[in-house]
Amino acid sequence: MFRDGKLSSYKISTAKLSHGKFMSENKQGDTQVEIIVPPNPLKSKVGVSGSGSLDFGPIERAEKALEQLSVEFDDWLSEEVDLLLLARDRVIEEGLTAETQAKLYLASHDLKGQAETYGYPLITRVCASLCKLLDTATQRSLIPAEIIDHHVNAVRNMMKYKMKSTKHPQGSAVTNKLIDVVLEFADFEDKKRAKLKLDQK
Amino acid sequence: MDRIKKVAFDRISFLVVDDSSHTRHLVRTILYTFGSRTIYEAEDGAQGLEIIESHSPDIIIVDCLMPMLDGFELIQLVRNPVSCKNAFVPIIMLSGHSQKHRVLSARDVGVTEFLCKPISTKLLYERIESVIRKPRQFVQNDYYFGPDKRLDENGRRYGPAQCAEEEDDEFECVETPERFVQRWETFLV
Repeated sequence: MFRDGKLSSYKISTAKLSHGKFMSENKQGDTQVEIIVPPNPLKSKVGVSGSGSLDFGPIERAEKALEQLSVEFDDWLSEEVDLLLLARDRVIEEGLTAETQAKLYLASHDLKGQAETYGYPLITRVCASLCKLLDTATQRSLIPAEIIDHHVNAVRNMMKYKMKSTKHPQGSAVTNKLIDVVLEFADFEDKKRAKLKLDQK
Repeated sequence: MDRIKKVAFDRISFLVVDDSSHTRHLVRTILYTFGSRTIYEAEDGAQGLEIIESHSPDIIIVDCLMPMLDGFELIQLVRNPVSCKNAFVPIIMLSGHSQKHRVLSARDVGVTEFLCKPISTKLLYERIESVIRKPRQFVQNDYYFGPDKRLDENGRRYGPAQCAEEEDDEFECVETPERFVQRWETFLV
């Protein structure tokens, strides 16, 4: 397929794969593929040496650099929580449309990824729960607005009252409750999805 | 003799694609302290694609969800040897999402490595070291062009072109899709 042009200089062989799955569920069985061994200019460029344990020097230096950077984390968190609040406000004003949901999801997703680095693992868990809520609904209109609100308020309060530890009594109680509610909602939606599937058959 | 693995990071150029300026700042700081001095940044996939075309970075670190062109779409465009001159470039996806379906999606569009946030400096270093030291062979069929992630029945990299140098290597980076997913499932929140 790519014998012509730029790939022709690479070592290419053809194999017939017959064991198990290939790349996804619907592509099982025998699959004709080309195996390509690209050149590795990177290895010669960086001159990797040694074969033993990892060089922990750079890792330790990076850890120290992050520690120095951590004085900024509260400000960064505050900026990202503001984006989440803004996204929630738009949901209140305009309703949960495709656009407002996407904004809310993106803000929650970013916070989920970053909050633990900023020292707020509970916020990561609350945002993971909010993402799951937005992910699992069969219909946008069925997502309970008050559950969205509770998540966003929880995030704001965790930042405000510096609920950093996962063992914080109020913080963890609120987080667990939110997760339970979302799991219950997800379970309900899953059952509904399964029923819809059955009805279609 | 068990010598420490060293990588000359100052010779590698990176592209960090993430819509969050804070994440880009964090990753840039980490890469800088690793020794890299050429770090490009893009706030979405479209900008990332321009930099890939113009600067051909050695390694790409990409977020999954971004406005405009997201990480998955960007990887799909890069893993097209007809239109992208840098189709074999190692791509590490750094994502806040670790659900199975997202990891599978990343694998299916041709990601080289998948790393979950929060960012771990050690894991990031290991992934970078791994993509340099042990680049995967690529496979190409009607549905897919990208790194081969499967093992044969004996647990070896599938295909005729197994790298002899890997035999002495203590780290296993090649894996079946199932193992790839399994590894990341442990990070599920």
